[in-house]
Amino acid sequence: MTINVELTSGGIFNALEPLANQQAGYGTITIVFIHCNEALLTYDFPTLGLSGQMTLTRAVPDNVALCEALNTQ
Amino acid sequence: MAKQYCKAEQALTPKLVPAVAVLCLLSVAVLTPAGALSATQKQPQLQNTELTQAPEQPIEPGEVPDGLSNGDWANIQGQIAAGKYRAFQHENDGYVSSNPAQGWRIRYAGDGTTTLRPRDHQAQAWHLGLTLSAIGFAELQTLDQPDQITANNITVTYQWNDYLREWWVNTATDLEQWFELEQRPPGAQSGQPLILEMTLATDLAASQQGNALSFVNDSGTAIAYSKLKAWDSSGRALPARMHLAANQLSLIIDDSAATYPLTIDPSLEQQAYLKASNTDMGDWFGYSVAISGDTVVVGAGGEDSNATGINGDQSDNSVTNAGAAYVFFDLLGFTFNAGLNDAWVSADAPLQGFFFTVFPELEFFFLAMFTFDSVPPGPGVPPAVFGAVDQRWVTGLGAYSGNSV
Repeated sequence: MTINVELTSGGIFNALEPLANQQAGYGTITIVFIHCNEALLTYDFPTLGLSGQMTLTRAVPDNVALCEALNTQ
Repeated sequence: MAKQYCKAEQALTPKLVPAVAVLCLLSVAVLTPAGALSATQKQPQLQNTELTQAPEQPIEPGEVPDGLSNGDWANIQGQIAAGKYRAFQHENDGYVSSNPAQGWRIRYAGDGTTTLRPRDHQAQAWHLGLTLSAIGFAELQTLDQPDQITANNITVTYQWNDYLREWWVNTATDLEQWFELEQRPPGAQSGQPLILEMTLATDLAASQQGNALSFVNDSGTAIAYSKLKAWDSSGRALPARMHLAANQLSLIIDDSAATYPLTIDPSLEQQAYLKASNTDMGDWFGYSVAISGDTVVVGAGGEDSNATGINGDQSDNSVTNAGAAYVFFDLLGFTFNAGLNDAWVSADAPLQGFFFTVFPELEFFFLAMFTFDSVPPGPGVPPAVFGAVDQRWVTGLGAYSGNSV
């Protein structure tokens, strides 16, 4: 299953103006979770000419135990 | 993992496979832990004299014997289970152990080589060996053999020299490899990462996908070498990656900001083992394979049963070479849950990554990407500044299914 991603740009931190511009159809991302601390992410951003794959792990493993517990339920 | 036997009335064609995959999502064969423990199995663990008379009936799963607390009984069961994974001295040198859950037997040789083989002697033979061969920075120091090899229950340790220790921990989950470096190896140079080089000896096909290796063969063996982590004495995670070139596997650690001792921790685990539910010689199980997500359909063109439809009588081999398809689904046994909510990063792109949020009740998934830029700052490409105009913030939203989105 693939999800569509949108690009938001142009906004200013903590300010109403200018309004941020949201660009739909920016590209697609597919993620497959191997286990609670590893995922394979495939991306395709045609407007940037970027596509590829990367392995992701958590920045910090704090939630791994919770994920594993929930996964067995 | 669930599996399903499907029988086609005609020989398999590529068009049939998707239809079979849809039709077979009905029944589930759940892998269960070992069955009831017999009284004779548990008796040696008991020290309470009131229990010297063993009960006549087996202890059912979930039942606690009279006179024992839940905690005591859990401890006893844990010891029995762990005993299956302990290491024993080998008649020549080193140690051996077994891993029933992964289907391996493991040899820890005196020369520092750790080798996996199938536990089932009737299975197709394969081997996967790893030997730490060198360590260092730009110029590696060759390692001959460990000074000492010792074992303690499920752990086997190679002491390579006065500052480098390698040990393996054998559990049902995986076979976990550890390294500890008491001090920075000699030869450190600024900007050069620490490298631990291992020699691979295997007849499995090896490939690398990011920070993970896969070892496979055409009979369904699939082993992953992954989960590489490294950290220093303060608990700080260190950038770590692996690189495979021919029969050399390198673990590459950025130790420039590390405070020794250093710990490095990858592991080996079986990815999947697929087997037909009605094995027979000449069935050609695996003649064709189709994969979609975590569902695999395996064709066996020489299967002989006369069953038709889904899950017929698989034992009646009266129609020679009728063929069958076997559907394995939910192979990864993983489903989305709120425990995935976190920042996720790629080791190849430090400090960039994604923040994931799962909405279990809606079965929806949200991601946001945090990144400095898609191209390095330089002429015409200003560096990213938090809160500045035109900085990118990418988000995505979508329904999930199984273990993918």
